[in-house]
Amino acid sequence: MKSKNSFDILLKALSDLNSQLETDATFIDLTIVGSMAIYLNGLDIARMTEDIDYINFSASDDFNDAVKKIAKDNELPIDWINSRASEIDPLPIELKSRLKINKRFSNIKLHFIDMETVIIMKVYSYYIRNLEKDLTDLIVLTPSEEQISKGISYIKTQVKHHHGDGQLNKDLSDIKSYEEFLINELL
Amino acid sequence: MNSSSDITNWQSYFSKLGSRVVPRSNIEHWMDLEHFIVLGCRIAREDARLFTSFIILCNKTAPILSPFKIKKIAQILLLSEGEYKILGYVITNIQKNVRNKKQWSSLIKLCQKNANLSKEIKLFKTPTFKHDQTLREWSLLASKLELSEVEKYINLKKLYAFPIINMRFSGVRVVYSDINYYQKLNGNTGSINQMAKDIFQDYNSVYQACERILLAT
Repeated sequence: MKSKNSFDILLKALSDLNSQLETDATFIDLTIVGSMAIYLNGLDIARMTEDIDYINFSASDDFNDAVKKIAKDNELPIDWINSRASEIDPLPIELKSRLKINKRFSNIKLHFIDMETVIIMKVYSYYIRNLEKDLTDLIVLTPSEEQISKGISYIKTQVKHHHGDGQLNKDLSDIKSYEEFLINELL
Repeated sequence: MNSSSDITNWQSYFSKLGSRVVPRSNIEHWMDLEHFIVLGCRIAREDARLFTSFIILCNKTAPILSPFKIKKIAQILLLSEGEYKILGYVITNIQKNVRNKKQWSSLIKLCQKNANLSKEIKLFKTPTFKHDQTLREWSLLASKLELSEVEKYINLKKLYAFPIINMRFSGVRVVYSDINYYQKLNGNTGSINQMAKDIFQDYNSVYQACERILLAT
């Protein structure tokens, strides 16, 4: 029998959350980013994910209580679904217009970012965090040159937004080296 | 070279130890804890998340691991030069989490002796943009690992409930915990010689420990 991968486990937890919302007659609207968005886009990734990242939703106490209970029942980390990605500001400009929707749940409107937005955000994440796991994801996502370029523009937007033109000018050569690195390794 | 069954067994054992980045498994099979650690230096570099989870596990179990067994197993398994680099990195991390630092020093020396530290190698399949300095100390080229996100990668409750981990953290000596868990899974009808081989202990220690267990029961 094929073992359940972590996406199946997390979707089962999301289904439990939906059942709780049904009982409470509550409806929520989540926008999924990160690895779960890759999975919802239909890319069959073998590796495991650790959590579900959402943005654009303010969690109530009832929601947080339900999340904790489901974590316990399914042996998941307490923050198996979390809004850490909400700290990313500004979001990619076309994120909202390119959102997709998954209708598997009755009480959770499950929006998720499309593959291009996933790539743009991953290009940014790897530059900022320098985490090996982000590079692993980029390899799986097989971005085009145009998508890498959009990711690079997004890095520049972020640096300019948070640190101003002066800092962006200082960072330009580093960002350029990063772009060359991605083109060499991913295309 | 690892066969696919070696990898499956290792992953299944890792799941029982609480890793969140391998498929969940309920299969209970014997594997020696230190053997698992040394094999991890071979298997875990397949993927960044797997490796992160593995290093976190090593750090969390550091106080109960036996450096002598790890040294013995590394020599039995004939680790490659690159694998000694990874083991060196693992031991450096373990040493930060233990009080008996001296016991681990000889193992670090063994890794330094067997790893060509003037030659840098990629830890994973692809080159990386910026290299993590702690990995580079062992001539391993990779970006940072997310080592602070412990619960994301390891279910600590599951880890500490695992029989051999639980026993050792409760103060049971390595040889006794190994015998206890081995016999729990395999029964106690086999030869002492075979058990000593499977748990990477010398015959005399196992023989004496078995005698004492027998006297105590």
